[in-house]
Amino acid sequence: MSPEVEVKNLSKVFGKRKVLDDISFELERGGFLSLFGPNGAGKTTLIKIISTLIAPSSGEVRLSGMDPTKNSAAIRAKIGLISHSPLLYLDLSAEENLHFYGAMYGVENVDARIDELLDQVELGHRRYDLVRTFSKGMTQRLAIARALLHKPSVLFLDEPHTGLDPHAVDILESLIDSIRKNHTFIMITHNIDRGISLCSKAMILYNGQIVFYQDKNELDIDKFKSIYHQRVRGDS
Amino acid sequence: MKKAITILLGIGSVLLLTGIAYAFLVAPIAVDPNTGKEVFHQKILYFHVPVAETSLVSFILAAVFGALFLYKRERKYDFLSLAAVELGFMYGLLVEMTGMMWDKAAWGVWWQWEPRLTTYLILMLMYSGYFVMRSSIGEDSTKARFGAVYAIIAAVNVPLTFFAIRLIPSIHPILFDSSGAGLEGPLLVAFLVSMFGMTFFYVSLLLTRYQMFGVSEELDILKNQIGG
Amino acid sequence: MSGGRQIGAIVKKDIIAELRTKEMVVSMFLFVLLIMVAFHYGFGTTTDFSPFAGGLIWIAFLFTSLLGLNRSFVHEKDEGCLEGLLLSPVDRPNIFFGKMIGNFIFLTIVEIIAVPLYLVMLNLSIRGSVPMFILAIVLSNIGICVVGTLLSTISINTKMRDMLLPLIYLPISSPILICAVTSTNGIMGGVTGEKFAPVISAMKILAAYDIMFLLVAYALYDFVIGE
Repeated sequence: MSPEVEVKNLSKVFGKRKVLDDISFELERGGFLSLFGPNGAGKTTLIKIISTLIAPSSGEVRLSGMDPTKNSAAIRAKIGLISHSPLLYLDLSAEENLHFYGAMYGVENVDARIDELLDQVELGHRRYDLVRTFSKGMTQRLAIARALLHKPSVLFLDEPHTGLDPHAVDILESLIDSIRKNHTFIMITHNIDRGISLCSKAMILYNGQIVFYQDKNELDIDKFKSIYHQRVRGDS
Repeated sequence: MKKAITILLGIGSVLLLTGIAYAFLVAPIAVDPNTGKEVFHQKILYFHVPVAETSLVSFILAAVFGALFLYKRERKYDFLSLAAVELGFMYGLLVEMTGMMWDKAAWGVWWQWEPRLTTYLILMLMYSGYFVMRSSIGEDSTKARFGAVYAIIAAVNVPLTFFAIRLIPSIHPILFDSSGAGLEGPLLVAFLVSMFGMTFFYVSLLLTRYQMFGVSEELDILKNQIGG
Repeated sequence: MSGGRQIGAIVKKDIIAELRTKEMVVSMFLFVLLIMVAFHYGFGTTTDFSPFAGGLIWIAFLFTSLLGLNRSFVHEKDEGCLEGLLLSPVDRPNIFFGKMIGNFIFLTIVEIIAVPLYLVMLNLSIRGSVPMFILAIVLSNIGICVVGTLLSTISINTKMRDMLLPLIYLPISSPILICAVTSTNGIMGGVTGEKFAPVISAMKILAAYDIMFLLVAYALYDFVIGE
């Protein structure tokens, strides 16, 4: 079986700057990649390329065997993003937001799906309230529901723990746990403990290059920490 | 390429100068068919019209190169498109200046809201927006992408603007057709020679500007390497 | 038709949000009123505005439309919604059509209230055909919203953001201004016969403008909104 996410010799050049330099990795179905690195290392660019928002300068990317530069709409239908910004309209209610994205994704039986998700993220009682009135944690829970609405098979988590209260973290992690088996995850994070405990593979990007990449079952945590501290924190 | 540019520049300059010299020294002074008077200021036409037409061609080229950039994503097309907008803009300024001289000589005022010159005024404003837009974008790839899109939008707008402006009733009658139609004999020869000269001259400028972008990018890369 | 469903959802979302906040229509309406008062102060009480009625109306509407066009994408950019939208499998031109239709509705609502007010308060009248007058407004509105939506997508993605829009939108919309003024002036003045010909030409150019830029937007929107 071919891997769910496949990246081969990927480079991205912005003007004169190399944002990504010869990146290669594979992620099997059900895998969980934790992506570490300082700001500006190219983490977000990498995710944007895999999710078809940015075209690569050279190299190849495959998601479920599809090429983002050719089957962009089909790929976008298969991915979900939970980011540190909620991607929700503040002047719409929880339900209206989900209805809107349901239409964008062409979700069928959208009402039943919305009921199910709002129960899962424990927001059923606030479904008619405007997102503007939600706490940060509630907004983030709704953002999780939004990302799962169209049953994506690959989930991108861009610093999902940022600004979450403990309750929202619990919900996020139990949700991830419940869909862990048949989904593939790529998570950008600065939280080493969470990133390592969730992942099946860990990677550190620095200046657009992979400086650390190991499977979790053979993970050398001391080596990881020494590289992480050296590169990310700038310790010597 | 450098050699080609020099040759084009040489041919262009010689033809352009010949055309203008011919117009002044050999060709007779044009006569206004309405009044029967001699019109000396008509001679600016041998410069004004080639400049105006080259400017329009340049804006069309900018849109074509823009479309090529969007299609092929090769940086050279962005350079060419930008160079064409810059030159079109410079030529447009020359059109305005020589046009104003004509106004002054023919009607005694510097500015008339004459349809063609007004069209050029709007074009100048439109392409000023192009430069402002480019300079307010950080990333080169976005600059090129939006530049290409804008060059196409602006070029589509050129004929629409021209036809729209002709709806506004002119206060002054157009004394005689300044498009160059009706030129005969030696006048036509002078006009065509200038026209060809201007075309060669323009192409050499375009290629020079294009090369400059390439060189300055190389320079940036080298600077980056030295800077580490 | 999933395309229709997507466009409809975008329009519906913008209308619901606008009904709640009312910020766009209300501020556009107040702005149009303020311009009218400014005209009054600028030209004095005794001025007969009827010879250039079309000019007054369209200068006011064009600048008012800028207000709405600038707001239209700010909502999308806030909280990263535009990214959320781009990550969905929606066809890029559908985003354009959705946003454009929303802008068209808001501008038209403001004009429906503002035109009678202008007529009454500046002592103007429509001597010619009212349906023709409405047609001229609709044709101009389409052009304003097509080009405005396209260019505001560009400006919101630059560092100048809403500062840039007037600089690119006003020159590119100049054919609209010229034709809208020519046609409404002619219709309001009740011209007939030979003098009516420019009104017809102006409306033809408006229609051509609308069609040309709808095609351009459809072809180029992919490049405007994403790589």
